[in-house]
Amino acid sequence: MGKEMYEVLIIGSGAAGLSAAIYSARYNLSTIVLGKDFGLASEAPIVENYPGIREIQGLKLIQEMQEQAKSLGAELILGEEVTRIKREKKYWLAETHSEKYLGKAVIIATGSRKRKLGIKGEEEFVGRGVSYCAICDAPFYRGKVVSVVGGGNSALTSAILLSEFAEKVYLIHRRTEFRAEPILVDRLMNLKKEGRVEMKLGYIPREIVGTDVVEYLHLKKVDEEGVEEKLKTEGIFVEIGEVPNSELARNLGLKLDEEGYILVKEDMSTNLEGVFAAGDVTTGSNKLKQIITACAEGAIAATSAYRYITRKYQ
Amino acid sequence: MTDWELERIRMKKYMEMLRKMENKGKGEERGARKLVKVEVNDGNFEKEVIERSKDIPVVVDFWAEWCMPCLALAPVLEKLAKEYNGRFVLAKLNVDRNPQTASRYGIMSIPTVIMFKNGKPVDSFVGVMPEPMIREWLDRNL
Repeated sequence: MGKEMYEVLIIGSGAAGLSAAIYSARYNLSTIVLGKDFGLASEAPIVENYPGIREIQGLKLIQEMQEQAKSLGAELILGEEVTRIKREKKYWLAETHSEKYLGKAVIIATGSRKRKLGIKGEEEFVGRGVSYCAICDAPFYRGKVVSVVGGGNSALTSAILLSEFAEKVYLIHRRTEFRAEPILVDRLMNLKKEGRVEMKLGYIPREIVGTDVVEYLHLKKVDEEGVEEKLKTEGIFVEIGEVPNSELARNLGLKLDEEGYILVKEDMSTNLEGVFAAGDVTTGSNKLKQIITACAEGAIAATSAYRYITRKYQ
Repeated sequence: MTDWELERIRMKKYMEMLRKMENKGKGEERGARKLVKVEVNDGNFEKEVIERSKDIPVVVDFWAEWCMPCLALAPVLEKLAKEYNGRFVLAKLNVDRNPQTASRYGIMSIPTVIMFKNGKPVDSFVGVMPEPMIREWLDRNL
């Protein structure tokens, strides 16, 4: 098992990691991206706020970034999960299940994952009605009644997408106001007028019930004790935000904030010299989790890695 | 380089090309010598999966082009199929083009991976799992 040597190791192959790879490759640094999936942006049914591209599927945008990074000379290894990062003399070592990679600098861009509801029946019905990816599974719910839980951009985009397939979409949100962009809220309101979406505001899910597949979602009112409702639904799409994938960073000894995000300075450096971070996993960009901010952080991280390597090794 | 060497390289390339074309036609891919991967559809599911699973376990990957977790899982499954070299056959079923089989097995989320043995589904998982967990799942069921 040899150890391959690179100047920049990028852990994570979403928007932040790929942008870092594009910049790093253009600084003529030997660059490798190690990723276990394509990041959450690739699950966006439609992206309409990435300047210069009026609308594009999240997956397409990510695939374009992959091609761009590759064409500039960055190496991409997908489906390889990094299990550990550690110091190896003056370098950084990233281990996957089968390989080891050495780098002069490392950029951690491991992103975030969907938050789970944490209620009874959720685990049991994954793949049998409970879903975390509307664009993957929407076509299976043609003509059925589905529920979306959440009130942010992802929840509203999912509800809007699902309304094209499902007979009816319930939107369950614990507040009465939405965090989502007003333009999405307007679209949702139009769907409500057309009777394709029904809101359940001020409710939270309590339990998922069914025999073989999901049949009911039990809700309870947030501010009224004892008020419950049984919703007949065949699909439940969970979109209640994200948690940072910062386990690798924590084990490496990076400082995290109280919610588990990697603490970064303006130049995307961390508390360890030669270790940078970018994208959803960091405290950067005022924690605005968008493709454009992930890309920007990736660019800054790669530039900082370039400056670090130049200073340290030349 | 002698003419003979050139000729040998040419023959080798030609054979590789032939093999590739052959595999493409059947949607099949072979490891060292055994069948490791096959594309299946509503029409041949009975023969390629149910019947075959009476001789050798068949692992069916229910996927679609629009599903990125499927695209992330595919290379891992393919790598393992090659490595296990014939201990199971990986069968890829596109749910978009083959809705009958997908609905027959109650697929509601993709990727879903089901192992068939002796003509019956024996175990399954949904979503992207890390490679060691898939290995464990295979070893437990094979």
